[in-house]
Amino acid sequence: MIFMIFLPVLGGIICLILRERRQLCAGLALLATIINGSFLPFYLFGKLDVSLGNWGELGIRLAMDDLAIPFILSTFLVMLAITLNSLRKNYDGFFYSLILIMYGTLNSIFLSRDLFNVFVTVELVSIISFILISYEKKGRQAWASLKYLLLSSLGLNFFLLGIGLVYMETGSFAMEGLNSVSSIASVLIFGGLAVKSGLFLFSMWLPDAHSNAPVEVSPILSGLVVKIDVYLSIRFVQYESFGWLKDEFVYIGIFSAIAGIIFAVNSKDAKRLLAYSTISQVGFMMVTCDKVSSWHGFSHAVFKTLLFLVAGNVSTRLGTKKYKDWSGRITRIEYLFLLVGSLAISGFPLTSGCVTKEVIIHGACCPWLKVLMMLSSIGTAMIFSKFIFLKPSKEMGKLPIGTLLAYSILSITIMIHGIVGFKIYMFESFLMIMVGIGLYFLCRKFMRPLPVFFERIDNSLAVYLIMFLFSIGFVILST
Amino acid sequence: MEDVERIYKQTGYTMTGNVIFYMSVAGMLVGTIGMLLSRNIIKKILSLGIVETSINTLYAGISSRRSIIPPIVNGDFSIAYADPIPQAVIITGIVISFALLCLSLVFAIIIYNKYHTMDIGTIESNFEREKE
Repeated sequence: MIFMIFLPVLGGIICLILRERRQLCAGLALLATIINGSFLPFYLFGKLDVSLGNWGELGIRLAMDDLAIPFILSTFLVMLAITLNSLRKNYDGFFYSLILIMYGTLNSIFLSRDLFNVFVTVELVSIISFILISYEKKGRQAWASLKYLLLSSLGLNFFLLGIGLVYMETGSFAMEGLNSVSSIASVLIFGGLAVKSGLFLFSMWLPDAHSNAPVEVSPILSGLVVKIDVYLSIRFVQYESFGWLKDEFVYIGIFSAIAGIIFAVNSKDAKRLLAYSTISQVGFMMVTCDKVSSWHGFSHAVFKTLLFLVAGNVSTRLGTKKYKDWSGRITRIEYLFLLVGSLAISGFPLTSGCVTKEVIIHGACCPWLKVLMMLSSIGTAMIFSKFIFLKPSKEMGKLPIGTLLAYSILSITIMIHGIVGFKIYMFESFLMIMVGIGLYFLCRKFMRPLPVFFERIDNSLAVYLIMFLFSIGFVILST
Repeated sequence: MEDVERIYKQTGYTMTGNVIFYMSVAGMLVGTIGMLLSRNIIKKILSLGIVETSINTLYAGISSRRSIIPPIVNGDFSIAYADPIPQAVIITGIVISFALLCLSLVFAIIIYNKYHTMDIGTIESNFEREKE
């Protein structure tokens, strides 16, 4: 099990030493990812549970269970696609070493059962993602990184205060201790991590960071870094002192799902649109915080990676991020993969988005929630009809072999997941897509980009603190 | 022998520990308010430093819990020991906060070289004008 964490980190260190030799580093990154992936089947289906060191229960515990499987699978797929896509570009060894160290650290988060270890690994992933966002050293990227850094490190300090309280009350950093801590510790832990979650109003740094990051980095941010908090919330909700969180997530989640859609529909920039759509999808996952939403996290990571890669590659080729200018200039093969991703995220039958989304909607607790979730599903179809109705040009177009391979792996995963999990009642999602497309043609004239008031650094910080206070108030009222 | 019993029967935290708790929570609030109100990037980063230092100090307070059994085989058990685990783990926290401060100053330098100002209002209005 420890092999899964240390192999990529070791590869990263070797890349750092050999960073002058670009080709070698790229090959090494690909090799480490594939070796790690080929060992996955042995780990996923055996119930493994180890404590590191010879201290018995005092050591850091690593364990694999049903909740961690989708996240570990999605980490492998996203990293493989990104490495394949980056082969023909001018990335040096430093980039590959950062990517590999991040891969090992993400695996470590999803396996660890120790709160302080979670803190250290989350901080390591954050530091690497700050460097990756501003990798091209543009001013706008540095500003997005700095905004993310200030908000995220403030939030993680609250998290550190929370686990300090857990240690004071139980005498250990193990996650089992969360069954018997006071609710102020649990609200500090939740509120501290929520700044990284991507929920609307909790993390308004997100659209800037995701849309300005380089092509290969946006999929990591949207598919994996945001999922850290989704995973940890799903895990924490199972402990007794987090009982209030499930009730709060119903309101916060559905609010975030709908607010993200309103911002995304009005956006003109393709990468910004995808970033707002991440906010909406994270809200969708948080509404029912259980095993089903972890599988939605998996399918979201796969199709969002596909969409971000296609959008990033097209906008670097054409030199514009406005999706309206792509019409008539995007080649047929690029349009095909864009279509697969858009249909998957809006929930077309026989794709992975349909399966997980329909299960979440049918697991909703009450009728009003079901209606609102259907509305947000219709809204997603409305956003992505912007991509579905682009006009492809006459020529077929050629892609580099690595990029083609990355796109195909992701599309095949979407198809297989969609066909295996398909049930006959899921055809109703087809109806929702039709309504969404109709609404898109009705409202197309009235779409204007909304103001970025919440995304200024002071406002996003103030809004985060207000939501934090709101959570504390919710806990006091509910206990 | 009486000394040993007296030490291990006590509960709660030492007085210094309690003072540290209140001081560090107060420092955290001060730092958060500083981050919220200051308009200068460097001042924001310094406020973040205050928050991080207060939290790291809090862990020193946590290890002042009474009646800790020291993790040693042979030794003088008649004196009180501090809890070693919070002290051991917070070293990692101190290193992380140091790395974060360095990285944020690097970003501040990049921004200053591009826009020649540290005022966030000027920088953000600059960005919004660029977009149009």
